[in-house]
Amino acid sequence: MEEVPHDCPGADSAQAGRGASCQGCPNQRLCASGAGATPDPAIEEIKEKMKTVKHKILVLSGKGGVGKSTFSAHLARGLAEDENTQIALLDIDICGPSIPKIMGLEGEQVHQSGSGWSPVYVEDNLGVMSVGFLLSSPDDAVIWRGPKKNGMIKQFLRDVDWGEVDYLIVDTPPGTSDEHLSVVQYLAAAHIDGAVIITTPQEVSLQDVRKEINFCRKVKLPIIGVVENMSGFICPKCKKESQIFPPTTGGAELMCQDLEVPLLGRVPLDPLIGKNCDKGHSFFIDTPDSPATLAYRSIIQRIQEFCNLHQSKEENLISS
Amino acid sequence: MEGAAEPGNLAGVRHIILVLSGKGGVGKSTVSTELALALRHAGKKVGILDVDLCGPSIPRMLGAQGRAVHQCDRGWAPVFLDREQSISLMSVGFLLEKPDEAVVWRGPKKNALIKQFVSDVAWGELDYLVVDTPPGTSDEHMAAIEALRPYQPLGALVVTTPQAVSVGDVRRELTFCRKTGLRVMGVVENMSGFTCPHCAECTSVFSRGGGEELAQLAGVPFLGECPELVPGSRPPVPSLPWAGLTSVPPVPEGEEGMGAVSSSLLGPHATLLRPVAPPPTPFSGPSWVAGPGLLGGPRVWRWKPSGSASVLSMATGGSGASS
Repeated sequence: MEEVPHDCPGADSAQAGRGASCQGCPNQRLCASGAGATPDPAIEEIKEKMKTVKHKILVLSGKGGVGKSTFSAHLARGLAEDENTQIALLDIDICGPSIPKIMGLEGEQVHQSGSGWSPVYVEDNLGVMSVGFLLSSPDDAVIWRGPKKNGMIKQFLRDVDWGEVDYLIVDTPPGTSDEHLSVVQYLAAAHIDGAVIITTPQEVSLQDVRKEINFCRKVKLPIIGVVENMSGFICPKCKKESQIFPPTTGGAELMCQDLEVPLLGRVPLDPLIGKNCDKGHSFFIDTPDSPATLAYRSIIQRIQEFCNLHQSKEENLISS
Repeated sequence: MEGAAEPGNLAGVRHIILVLSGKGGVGKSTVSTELALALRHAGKKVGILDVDLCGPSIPRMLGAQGRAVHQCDRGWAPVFLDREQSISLMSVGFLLEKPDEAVVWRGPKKNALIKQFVSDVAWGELDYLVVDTPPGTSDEHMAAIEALRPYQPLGALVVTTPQAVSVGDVRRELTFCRKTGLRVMGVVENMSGFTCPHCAECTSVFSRGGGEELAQLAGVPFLGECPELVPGSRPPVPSLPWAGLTSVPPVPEGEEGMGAVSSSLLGPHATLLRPVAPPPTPFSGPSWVAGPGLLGGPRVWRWKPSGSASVLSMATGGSGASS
């Protein structure tokens, strides 16, 4: 309780250090000096760095285990099928990095070059960065509080040598806390195209996802759309569909209507997706015709369209 | 840190069980809920403390959304589910004005609320306090352990799903438990299989056997599988008549699984819940831990030359270039 007063006005507000609740706060003097209001110089540095990155997409969900990393990995792989598109996949789930395993890069290490940290490449046009590459053993736990996690994210954005990139996909941990605030803040000047929000059909997940949508609105992050994952399960034996995570409250569709955000599509629950992720294989290559592959492809196409539209709008603004 | 060692409001709590998992969405809240219901079924008084501040699920799972926390003379009165007051809950979900409100807080604010949950909630006499946590190994976990540390016995139940991606994160969680001196009572594997309602074929939707392997690897007990994936078995729970609940609670799905887990907590493994000497290494609070055998030492980025390029690795302590 002594750490932050209950009604902290925020370090960047005009009331910083002067409010009644600031009395007794250990940071009072620092806040009152106005130092908290000066923006982090890293934001400008990141803006410079991100000039070579055309589109930036965040993959978010309030709920854990709904398939953020799986989706991020498939989005990256799907976009990278076009050899002329350069993709960067950044995993900012500091405490539970899953991307190295899903991309089949476990045990890889990050190298340092003159121009920064080099990402680990799956293909020539698909680079990956994750805290998982910095750990010496799969048992290593990153037991960090917020500030250290934020520092790591800053380094990932500022110090990684991505090169010329068409799409930067950022995979996030569940929640609406340090990692999310930091990535949005650090990329504020560089401009984020938008967020893709992942959910599963059941209410326990939707209620967290509604919070995430409110988070996006609070921080003024555009929402590209919602993806409903694990939507229906087709029994491999009898081919009949069941709802493992039943949409008892109308699923993502109703939520999207209520909150006026687009539903990008539904991805069925296919046990092969999980198996491929465990092995680090590409699901697209192994099962090119499955309903899940088709669903992914159509969603990826919609995301591409969103980004292109976005870009042309911006170019119009600049030229006019 | 102040006053945490005083018995205070947790003085009447006999056992504290933290439900942890490195991975999200594996069923921590479901396991917490069912464990609490199963323990209550066995005649125990149970409290559930939900320290998942950004995604509280406990109120919904127990049909208690919209209930409010009241102030009483000993602190915050938890939300009681039944008239006998045998299950009590505390969650940030009860403190939000609107259910969809996002709690956009950084670490220090989360830590402060968790401390308050531990010190200011008037739990009264409880046999078990089940603490449901968010995924990861960060602020909430450190804050909860730090605040609960003075109260022994304290043990962790680690939940995983069978697939490797989940087991990978849970391995890290087990390291976290070791580093923080938290006893692992065992591993529970959730979502072990799905029985097709049309043809009764059981499919391992999320692979197989990962939990047991993990438990063996880590040398901790494997408490069982919960055949969780029975479609629609988790009822929509919106308005269970908890208020009128009399003696037998409607134990939801996974009943056998959690029954087994809870009886192993009460039965053969019960020794795990007896008070033990405090852990040898004191937990050093607001610092990070990583790498073998190091608690709160300075972290440096160490350079390991490898060929022409250098490899960055996370190294702890020792000499080397500072970050």
